[in-house]
Amino acid sequence: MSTRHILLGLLAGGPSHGYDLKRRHDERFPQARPLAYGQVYTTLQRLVRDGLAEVDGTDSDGGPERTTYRSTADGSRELALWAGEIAPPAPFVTNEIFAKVVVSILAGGDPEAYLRAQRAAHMERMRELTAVKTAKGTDLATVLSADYALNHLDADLRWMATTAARLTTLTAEVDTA
Amino acid sequence: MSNREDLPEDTPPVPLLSARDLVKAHGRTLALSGASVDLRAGEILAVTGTSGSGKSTLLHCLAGIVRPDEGTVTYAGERLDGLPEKRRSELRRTEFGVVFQFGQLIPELTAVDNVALPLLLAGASRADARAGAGEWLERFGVRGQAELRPGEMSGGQAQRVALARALVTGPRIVFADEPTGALDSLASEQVMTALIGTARESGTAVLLITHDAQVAAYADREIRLADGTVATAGVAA
Amino acid sequence: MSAFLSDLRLAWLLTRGSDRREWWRVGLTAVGAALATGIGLGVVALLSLDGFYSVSFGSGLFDSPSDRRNVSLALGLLLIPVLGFLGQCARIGAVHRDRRLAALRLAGATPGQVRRIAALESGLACLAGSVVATTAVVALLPYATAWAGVVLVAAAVPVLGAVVSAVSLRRVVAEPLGRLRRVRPAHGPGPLFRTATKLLAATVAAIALTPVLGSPVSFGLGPVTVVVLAVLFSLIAIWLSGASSRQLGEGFAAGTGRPALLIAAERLREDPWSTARTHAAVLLVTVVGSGFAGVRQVLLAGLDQMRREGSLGTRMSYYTTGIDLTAAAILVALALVLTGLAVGTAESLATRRRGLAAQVAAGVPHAVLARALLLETALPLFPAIAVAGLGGTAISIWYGAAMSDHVAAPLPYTALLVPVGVYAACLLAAATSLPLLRRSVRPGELRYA
Repeated sequence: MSTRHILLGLLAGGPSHGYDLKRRHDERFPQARPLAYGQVYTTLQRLVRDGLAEVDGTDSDGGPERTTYRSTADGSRELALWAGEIAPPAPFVTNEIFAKVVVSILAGGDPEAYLRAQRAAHMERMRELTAVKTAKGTDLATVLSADYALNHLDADLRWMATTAARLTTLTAEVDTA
Repeated sequence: MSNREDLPEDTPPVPLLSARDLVKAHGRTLALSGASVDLRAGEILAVTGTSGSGKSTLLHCLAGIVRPDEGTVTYAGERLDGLPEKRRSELRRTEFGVVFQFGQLIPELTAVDNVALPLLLAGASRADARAGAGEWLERFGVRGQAELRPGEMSGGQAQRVALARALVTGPRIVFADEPTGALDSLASEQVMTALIGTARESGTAVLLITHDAQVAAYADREIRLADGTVATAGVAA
Repeated sequence: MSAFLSDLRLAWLLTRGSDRREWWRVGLTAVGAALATGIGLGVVALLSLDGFYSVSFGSGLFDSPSDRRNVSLALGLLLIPVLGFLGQCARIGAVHRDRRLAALRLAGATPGQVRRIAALESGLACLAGSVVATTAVVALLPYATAWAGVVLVAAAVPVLGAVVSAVSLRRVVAEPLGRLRRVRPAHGPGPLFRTATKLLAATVAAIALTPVLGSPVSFGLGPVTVVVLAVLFSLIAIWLSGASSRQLGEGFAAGTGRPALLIAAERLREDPWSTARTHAAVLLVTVVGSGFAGVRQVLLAGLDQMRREGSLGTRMSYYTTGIDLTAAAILVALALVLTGLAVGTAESLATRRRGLAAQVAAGVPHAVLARALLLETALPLFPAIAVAGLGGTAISIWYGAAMSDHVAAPLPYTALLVPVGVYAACLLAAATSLPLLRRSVRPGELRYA
């Protein structure tokens, strides 16, 4: 996930300062990990260094002084390029659950019990997300981001179900390898 | 399997519906082999498991549609398994609502008449029954389909009409057997939101049979069936 | 030949693996074919006799050629309800059969192959019936000397059965996916039906005007008129049954607060002509039966009077045997028609059993579903049988009036009793499927989606 491009996207609507950018990010992408202000600040610095954004000015609004930034022409070009680029579909299969199952077999643990516990945890998280999604007055952005997570968790669950059913074969394969 | 020790403290001591050690065979196949379930008032319970794990048979026993070969089913202090069909039929009509994957709407009746049917069976006048049915259709966003027959609606619309029919008598428990089994994900979400939203509002308990984890996630609690018995039980946060 | 054998083997495999209802279809088709063969052989046997014979039974009714011709005509008319019965049998498990054959098409069978397999299936059923009937008739009737005729009838029945089956399957053969979905026949009677009605009406008008205009063709005011009138009345009754089904459905569906009536009325409104087809034979039998009952009453009164006056030519039993035989034929027709009605009701239940099981699961009482089932038969038959009965009564009154010059004809009230009896019998026939309702709405039906 490229914080640079997301900030550039937020700047596309007009000049904005760091704190405002963080607030808008957290609003737009509910259920995502919230942006740390420090990260916003350093990312903006780098955008300026690379000529993708520039300082628009400062305003104080009666409070502490804040630097506002705006996107440059290069920045708009870069943003358009990134937004149109496809996200690489799973270039590396890095699956922590699978790794734990294999390691558990290697170390003589109980992969079945682990999968059961993992399944319960997944279901618990899915219930939470469903509750968030179905609460009264939830906006569409929240529903859609919850759906994204739900579908991924569901895919994990299905993978875990087939894996649990084939643990014996997997154990034999791992042990002989 | 009893989860009594896991239940929150404010739980009433007696569950609304309780089954103990249910055994049911279809011919030589054992569909249930000692399953026990508790359903509290207003609780939404998902029953999951692979095909052939006995989910539907469990629902049929709990709803009094069939009698278990062994074991007991108790609803609000009354033994269901010993009741004659006439009385169980009456219970299903007045206290329970059922929703299946499809087929519970009469194909020749319009949506509004399908929903009005349980009210007519309870002795309401045609005008009152249709008015009552209309309110439920409105609530589930299918008022515009009131005069259509099930075959003329989309699957999601028909299923929402089926929900209206199950809920129109104000049941204490809704039994839903794969209610979204034949729907795409968007229609499925609409049906589940309608069912769960209404159940929570009115304090109706729901026993939800599903093989879909995303549907099961709408419930407060999940039990998993395997080989006709309860394998694992989870409790809501 | 090897293609024929492989088709035969496939037909046998498919039939053997199919469910119980298909066996019902095969069994009842065989019974119908046996009846058709029996009647055909009876006609052949009667017509094969030449000149005057003294037949040891039938009170001399089979002795003269003209009498035999009349009896064989009556027997031939019996074929109509038999064919109706066979048509009804073809519909048992038809959805399943169509699906099976469509699947065969999708699996790569050629249209010709599918048609041959279907034709073989019903052809073999008809052959079984035909063989049984032929054996029985040949064993019983020493008069059957016209062997060519016997062989012709025995072979024609299975061949006809196969041809009809192949023709009725042309839609499945043409569009493998087309018949998987249930298509509602919303259309009313076809142009053939309307043309037939008009022709008959014209004939009746011509007969009615014969005394006034003098006729170009000489219509005997006898059997032809009776047959034409009966057929006309029954066609009108079919139309009435269909049209009134829709009207009744709409009327009752709009106003009723009773669930059983609502379900029955909406089903009628949805598909009024499916019941009309089933009821066609019922109405024909009602017209004929009602007309016959009235005519019989007048005839017997006249014969009785003639006997008392001593002007009766032959023995009374000569006439009564003829009348009794006709009555027996009509009763056979009625029995066939009622069986057809019962089969139709059972079939309608069987195709809907999953939906009905869901209704029972949802707490709809059995009694409501049973009442809806009976009302579905009772509602549309009521006006149609009433009109058919009135038609029969009109025939008898007309006959009575025509005879009143010779005898003091009584009021033919028996003609009015027949429709009442037929109506009651129809309700009983429909009620025979009630045990099936209880049996077919098992929760087991809910288990498979």
